[in-house]
Amino acid sequence: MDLGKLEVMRLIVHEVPTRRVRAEGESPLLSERESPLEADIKAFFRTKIIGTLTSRKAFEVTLRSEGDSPVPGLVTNLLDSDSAQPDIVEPSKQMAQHLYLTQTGVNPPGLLTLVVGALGDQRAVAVLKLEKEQGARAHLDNIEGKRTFTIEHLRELMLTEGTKVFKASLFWLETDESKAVTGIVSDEQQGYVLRTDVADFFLTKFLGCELRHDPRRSTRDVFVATQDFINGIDDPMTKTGYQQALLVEMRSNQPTFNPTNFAQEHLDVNDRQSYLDFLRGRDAPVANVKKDVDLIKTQIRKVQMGFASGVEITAPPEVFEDEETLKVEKEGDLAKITLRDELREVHGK
Amino acid sequence: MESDGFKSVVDSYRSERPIYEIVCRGVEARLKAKLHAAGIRCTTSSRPKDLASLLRKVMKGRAPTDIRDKAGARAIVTYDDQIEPAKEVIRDSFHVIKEDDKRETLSASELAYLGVHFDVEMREEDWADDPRCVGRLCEIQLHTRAQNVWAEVSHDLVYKTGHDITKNIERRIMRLEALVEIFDEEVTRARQAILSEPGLIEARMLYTLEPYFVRFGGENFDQALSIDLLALLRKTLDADEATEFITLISRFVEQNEQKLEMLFRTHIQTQPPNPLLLQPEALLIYERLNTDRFKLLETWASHYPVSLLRSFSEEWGIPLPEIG
Repeated sequence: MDLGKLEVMRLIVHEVPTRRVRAEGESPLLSERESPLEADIKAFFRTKIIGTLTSRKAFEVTLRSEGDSPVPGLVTNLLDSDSAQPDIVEPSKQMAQHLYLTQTGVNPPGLLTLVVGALGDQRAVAVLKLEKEQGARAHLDNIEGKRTFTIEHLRELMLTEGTKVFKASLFWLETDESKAVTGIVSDEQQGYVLRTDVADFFLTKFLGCELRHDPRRSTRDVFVATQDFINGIDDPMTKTGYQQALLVEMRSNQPTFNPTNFAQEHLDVNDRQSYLDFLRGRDAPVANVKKDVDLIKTQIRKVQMGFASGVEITAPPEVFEDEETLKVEKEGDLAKITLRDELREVHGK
Repeated sequence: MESDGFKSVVDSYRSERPIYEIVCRGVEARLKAKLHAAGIRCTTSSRPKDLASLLRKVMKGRAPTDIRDKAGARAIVTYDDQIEPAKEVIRDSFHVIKEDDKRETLSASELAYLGVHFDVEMREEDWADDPRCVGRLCEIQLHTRAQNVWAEVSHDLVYKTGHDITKNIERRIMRLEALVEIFDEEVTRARQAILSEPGLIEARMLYTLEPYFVRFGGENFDQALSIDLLALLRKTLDADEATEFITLISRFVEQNEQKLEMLFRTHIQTQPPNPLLLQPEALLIYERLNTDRFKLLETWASHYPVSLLRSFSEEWGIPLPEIG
């Protein structure tokens, strides 16, 4: 989906304080009507949403059909609605209440913001949590007898240096027959290590979503496609360098693999765009991949032998099992290595 | 005409004038929008006819009901070779009652004012909010800038001479008219020379980008900045892209028209802090982000702050890689 087509049209904000379970706390300050929007506020949100959802912490998601979160149903109803101007007050209030009840004392206060807009010809719905570095009670205005955050308040609350959109999500309906709801979620404050309550709070508990693609398959697909791209490189030294970079990335502790950043960091400038185009042509992921090397662990593992003289031999495990290529024999306290293979390059290091 | 008749004309026009103000605004808005949509940079103006001007025609014997051009609009283009395309736009955008191109009516030996005049109406459905405007004519004058200057100067010069001018004065006026015609032709020739001059690549690129920039609502921009940026950006084009630059841009605009229109509309409304977003070369930056963001980033980072380029990537929705 081309996020650059996003247009913000309507917006409503609710203030969600920190929930202190064992003490009396504030309750959410809910708007009763959507905020009147000027062009600069729309532009601000548009840029913030796009910037957050194209970052390294953004992943494609789908809505879970089961679970305690009301958000999937509310989002689906908004996207499916035949009305040109579906109500956003009640759905957003429910989201704000749910956010408040789902949070614990470790979750900072923030502004739950529901945005309705368009991605080209399609309706899009964004759910954001904005946080300020310094909490401040918002002063609401009263328009036609109803409480809301007005433009000046929004500027004071949001258009400041201290404003960060840490948690953002955007949803739309697929245009194919499935008409499934697809989305992108970014949580700038967390990696997606889905094994801790804190880490999966926004994606799973609040939004009721799950990653669209199985990380094991995505990792395998991007790894295989990248290898195929590298195999198409003519220069053996370049090829070797790229291959080693890929293995290093896959073996690293980084929770994600981002093809764009991989290209920038490891490929020659003339190969970078070609690489992304190659991935796209192979239907391999070009956006962030949550890394899980379970399906490729044997391919990324290499065995290294080091010798007292400083000689090192690094090879895939299967080579060590092929005595026609590499034979390791013991001669007393020494090791004798016989290597029968085509010499490709010799270079200084 | 008796004084009662004049009073009746005056009173009638005073009551109608607010309607003609609405007609003027409507015609001017459409004229500007349609010409810009066609990539023709222009300035426009409009006003209802002055009461004095109306009375002058009545005093010369015209029946008040025959004076239908009580609203006037003007479009001024820069170059003489924009007149024909602009005429086409006006024909497509309005119901043309009468068209008068002075260049086509003059003989080879005549020199005179060279504007194009149209008497037009808007369609009935265009005046749904104000049916009083239906059927009201507006005169559109189409000029080059030089023709416009002469139109204004000659109005002052010729009318003050009265009806009987000497041959000497007539010759002087004809020489000025000839100067205007020569000026317009030479400006067009100079532009064509620039477009075919081998070294002026950035100028040609800007000539290609500018009509699209105008089409998306762009108006004023810093031309020197454009040339500097294009000198950098053209390093990101390979040989084929540089040779086929017009096709490259045309195809990109066609494929992304809705998105570009939305972005420029938003930036014109909000006037973002990055002024480059409202320059014609923004189109090429977006195209480069689409085609090869890595080469763009590498080339850009050697000359300008990357933050300026990141705001383009955020607007366009294509992330730039992080760089050390």
